[in-house]
Amino acid sequence: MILPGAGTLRRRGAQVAVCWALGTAAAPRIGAAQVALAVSAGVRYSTVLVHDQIVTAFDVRPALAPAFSVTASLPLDPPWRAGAVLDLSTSEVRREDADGTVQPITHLTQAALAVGLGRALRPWLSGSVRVGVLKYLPSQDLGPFQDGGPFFPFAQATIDLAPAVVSRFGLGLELRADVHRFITDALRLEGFSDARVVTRIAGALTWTPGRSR
Amino acid sequence: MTRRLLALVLVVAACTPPDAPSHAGGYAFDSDGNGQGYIFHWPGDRLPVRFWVDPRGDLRALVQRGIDVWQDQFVYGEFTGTVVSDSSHADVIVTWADSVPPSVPPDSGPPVRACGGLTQTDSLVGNRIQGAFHSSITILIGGATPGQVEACVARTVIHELGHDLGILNDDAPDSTDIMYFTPYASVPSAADRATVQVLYHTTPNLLPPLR
Repeated sequence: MILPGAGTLRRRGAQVAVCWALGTAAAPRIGAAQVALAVSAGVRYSTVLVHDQIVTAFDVRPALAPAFSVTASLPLDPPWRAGAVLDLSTSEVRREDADGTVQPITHLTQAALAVGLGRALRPWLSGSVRVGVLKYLPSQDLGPFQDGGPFFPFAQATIDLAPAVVSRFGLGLELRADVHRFITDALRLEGFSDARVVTRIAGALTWTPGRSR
Repeated sequence: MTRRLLALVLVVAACTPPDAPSHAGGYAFDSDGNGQGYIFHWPGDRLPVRFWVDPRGDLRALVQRGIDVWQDQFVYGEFTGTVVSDSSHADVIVTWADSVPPSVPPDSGPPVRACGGLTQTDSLVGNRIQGAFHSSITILIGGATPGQVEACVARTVIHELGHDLGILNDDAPDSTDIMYFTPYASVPSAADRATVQVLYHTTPNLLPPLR
């Protein structure tokens, strides 16, 4: 069964894909001036990348990380918008033993590129869903990343809050959550056969230049 | 209904954490080889372990390869090492015992016992090791070709570095283990790997030398 409106949504999805593939210059009806750029800075929490037990149990996870992003969005038929986001966060990845000791393994940068659709839910609230690719960039090929940093597809949902008190300055708050399945060649060699579901959650302050109300 | 059930199964499957692999299969790593002796490994706050290497011949390159080989046995960064230029600030000193063999490509044929190795520490005061670990490589007089000597030195360097990491005996049970009394393997075996992994998650009863 096809729900009413689904065809429209598909056409918009195709439009988004074409626009992003060809660039805004190839989509004259939309116009480059309507592309809104937003930057954000915040902090990211990640769930456990690996859980293992050698004598005692321990976890491996990235530490709380500063997170930065640049988002480009294009207006479609209201209330929809298409968007693409480049996201970076960087912190050490570390082993957390059961006795509370923490041992750094290496430094890790996470870079993600995602595209998707968003819509306004309230005048001060909007949400979006995106899919993309996440790349782990370890500073050393060490530990779980001894064969380098792999790519992972991921899905993301975001909520943007722009209460009037801050939106007048082009500011807003963003909560971004994404999920991917994590495994590396080194972990496969170690005997892991299944990827682990990893959730990353970021909270950030956003700024959209020229969008003060 | 079927779709809902399928979706539920997919969600449950997606959220099921993977099983941790077995890390069994290692051998004893304590000094007595029976679990009753000294246990030592480099603590996390002493990483990377600093190696000073005799600059003669190609020992430096062989030690660097040995460090890399041992680092690769650890999945969680338990051990890292680096070669340093100042022997007075080294945790491990690796030297030729006497003669220095020519640098040639290693022979790829069956292993020949053309060299030997020794690792020791200065002394022990209480439960603390004194001074750096000293590993030396000896070239044996015999009919081995230079390539066979080179291959032997490469194996023996990894073996002695295994002692420097904390495998304090020569009781590896199988000749395929790099820590076998006479190393015939060219890289650590699965048992060597399991052994150092368990060692680095075991509480030691020896402390590293003070820096």
